[in-house]
Amino acid sequence: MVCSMAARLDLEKVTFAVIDDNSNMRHLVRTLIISFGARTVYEAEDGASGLEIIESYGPDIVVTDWVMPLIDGLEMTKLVRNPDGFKFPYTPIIMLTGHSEHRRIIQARNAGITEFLCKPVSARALYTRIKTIILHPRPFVRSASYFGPERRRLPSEADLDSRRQEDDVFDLEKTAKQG
Amino acid sequence: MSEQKNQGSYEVIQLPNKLKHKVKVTGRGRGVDLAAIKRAESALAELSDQFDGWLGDEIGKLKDARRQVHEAGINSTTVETMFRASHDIKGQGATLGYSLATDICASLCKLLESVEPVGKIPLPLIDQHVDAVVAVYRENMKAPDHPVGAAVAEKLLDVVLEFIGGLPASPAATGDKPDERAAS
Repeated sequence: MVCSMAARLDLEKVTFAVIDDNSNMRHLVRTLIISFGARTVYEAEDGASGLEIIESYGPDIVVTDWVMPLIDGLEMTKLVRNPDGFKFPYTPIIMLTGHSEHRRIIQARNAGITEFLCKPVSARALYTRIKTIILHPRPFVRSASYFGPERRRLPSEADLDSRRQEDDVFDLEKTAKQG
Repeated sequence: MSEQKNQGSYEVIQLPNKLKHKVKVTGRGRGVDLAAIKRAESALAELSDQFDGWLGDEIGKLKDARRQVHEAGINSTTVETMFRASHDIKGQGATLGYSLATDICASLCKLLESVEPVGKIPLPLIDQHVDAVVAVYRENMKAPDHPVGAAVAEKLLDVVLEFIGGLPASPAATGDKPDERAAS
């Protein structure tokens, strides 16, 4: 049996935006992203500032909290996913949140988030999501009621990382069927 | 690329993967880059001497929120403030070394977002949660199975679930925020 080296990503040129009203949380997530190899991380403390950051700098990947003042992460995502009104509607969005209830996952999915991640944040879980976004991006779907990443996770992605269950990954398709 | 579906129509948009062109990829195997994970975990470990202080700050906000509840009463504004403070500890507690703080605040969040109208939220139960988190931090109860801390956390959750179970069905199941429920 030939064992091939896990894919290593050089993230030096990938830009990120971290949006969270808690400065300690922003510090934590920024620390993780920088240690993964990225060099450019924008920060915002609420959804309104987050929208400005995304529109001004066009970050490659956004990591956002849900519960925030002014505009929360869910509303921000909906505003981003406006192909006729927002500059970068296809921006990959990772929602990193303390919410873990099934109904919250469905809400986030229907708002158009790309990946959902529960706090407490783990380096492995965040890296896995980033890797998936870069190497296996989902196509987008546009319908009368939805614009965003395809909400069904393709079978070929299902065993990307055999330890996903340990990282509190919520299979969007599975949870949708249970919904 | 478009597809027609029987129930309606939708369009599948397959975008070129421009992001991948910005990333140099070496290796093709599955799994994660353990070196990158190790770097990240080391970086977090270097921050860990600040974690106690960070949690202390969050607990300070929780105590402030509790004081507002006592001074202004239980209303949509004070509940929202309490929820945000509790939600932040729920999200960070385990990362900062106090998973029991996460458990207790998860219970408090459940109470705050499940009771309609907010005036029915029992103040003593809020106080008990806040006092428990303060005690966990003060007594340095970092082990998730600390006998006293874990027992208190479990009991608080039992009480919350029993209280919620005795209430009529609330709009909380639809995902409304506490202030949206109070305003309706």
